[in-house]
Amino acid sequence: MSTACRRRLIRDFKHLSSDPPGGISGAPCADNIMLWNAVIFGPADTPFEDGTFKLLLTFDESYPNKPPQVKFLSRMFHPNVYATGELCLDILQNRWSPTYDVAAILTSIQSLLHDPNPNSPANAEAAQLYRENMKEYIRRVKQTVEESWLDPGEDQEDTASSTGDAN
Amino acid sequence: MDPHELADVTDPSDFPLEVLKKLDSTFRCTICKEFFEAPVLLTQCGHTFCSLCIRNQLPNKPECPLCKKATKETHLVRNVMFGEAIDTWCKAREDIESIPSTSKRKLDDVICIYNSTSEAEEDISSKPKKRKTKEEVSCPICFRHVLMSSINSHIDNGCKGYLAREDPKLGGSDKLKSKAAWNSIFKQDKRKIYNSPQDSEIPDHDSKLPKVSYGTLTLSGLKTLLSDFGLSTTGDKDALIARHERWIAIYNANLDRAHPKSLGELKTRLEEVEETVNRPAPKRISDEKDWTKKNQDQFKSLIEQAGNGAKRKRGDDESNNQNIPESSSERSERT
Repeated sequence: MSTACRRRLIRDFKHLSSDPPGGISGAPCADNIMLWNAVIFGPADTPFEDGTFKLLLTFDESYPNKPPQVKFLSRMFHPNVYATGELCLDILQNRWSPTYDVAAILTSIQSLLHDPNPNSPANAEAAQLYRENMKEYIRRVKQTVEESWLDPGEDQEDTASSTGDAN
Repeated sequence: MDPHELADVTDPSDFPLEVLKKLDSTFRCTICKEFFEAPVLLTQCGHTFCSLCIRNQLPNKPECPLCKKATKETHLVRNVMFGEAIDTWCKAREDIESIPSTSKRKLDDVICIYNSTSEAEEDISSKPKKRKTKEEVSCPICFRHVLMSSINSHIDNGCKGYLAREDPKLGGSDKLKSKAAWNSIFKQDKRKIYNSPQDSEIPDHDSKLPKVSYGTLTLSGLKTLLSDFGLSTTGDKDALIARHERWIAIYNANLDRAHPKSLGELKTRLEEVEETVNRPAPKRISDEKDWTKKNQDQFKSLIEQAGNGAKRKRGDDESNNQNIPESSSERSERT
């Protein structure tokens, strides 16, 4: 039986694929419509430019009354993204509205890359560099951009070198 | 995902024309994105949602999901005329949809095609043109005149009724009509008797159920509330409360329909909802590296798609100001 939540997700997929916002894509897994893989391109004219960042969205039956869990699978260096990849974004928490769909979620994550909010930092170091040392912030972000191009498995050595860098 | 499911879902993007896309989306609830079912107006702000969609949402947050204006269930009012407009659009849509969507057409062409296809439908066009379905044929069994559109029903019925013109032997058309009318009344009554009387009962428009303060209720009091409607009383107190809250939402939303459904149908709906809510949540992905690796192919095609979208968007500089949440300084205080 197709439940209200599943029907809505099918709709979201149809909307996202028929009228995709620029630099954004997403699709449910073949065997589980409650799990979605998504890709966001780093917005132009930001240090994230050209990055292809992978995300995982986990829905449950309370969608769209409750937001999905959204996580970056690619390593991120951003004031509002935790080390685990989870995001600190109001619309995924207390300002969620059931009128949002997957396209809206991904678009606002893309604009979060463009416009970080250093006042509610999830990554204190990134927030501090963003405020005080833009040059270093850009360098660190560019590292994650280059990592995002690598295939999984390939990035082992790079991550090792960059985490050494980070601490 | 089943491709049939995807094809089954209608969407504003089914139309090649921008105006029709817009028109189609105005008839859709912004929560479920389906055509409004029992639309209700939020009298504080004027936005409209499906009755059940907004009733399910208000306990989470007592505000309009679109403009965030504070609201509560007592502010919901049936949007009767809008409901009628939606019904009409849904009927019209089927006709418009048969237009091939390969090439962009001018609205005039679409309307022209729409007019010609809708003639088969009664009430819409009053043109005196002869319709195909109104053609008379002679029944191969009894040789009387029957409408082409009702020949199958006529034969299925043992060559009784469904005649295009009255046969003098059978008496005047008034007589037949009144016989048919009586038949339909008796048939309905028979159907009613076979159902259990309570389940077939259709609730009255003005009989909305009030909210219950569950804190003051005992377990047996809760059970009585549920069994009054013949609902299941299994489960602990929390389960019973959840069931009763869901029932109130389904019951009250039903009263906002133009033609409310019977109690039996509502019960089936409640059971379906409970079944999905009690489904185990999907397991969380623990090994993300492994997941990314396993889904490498999908990610590759997603990157390609996102790239194509980006190029296209740069080409036509069309701003997309749909329902995209504004990223503001109000971003969560949580750290």
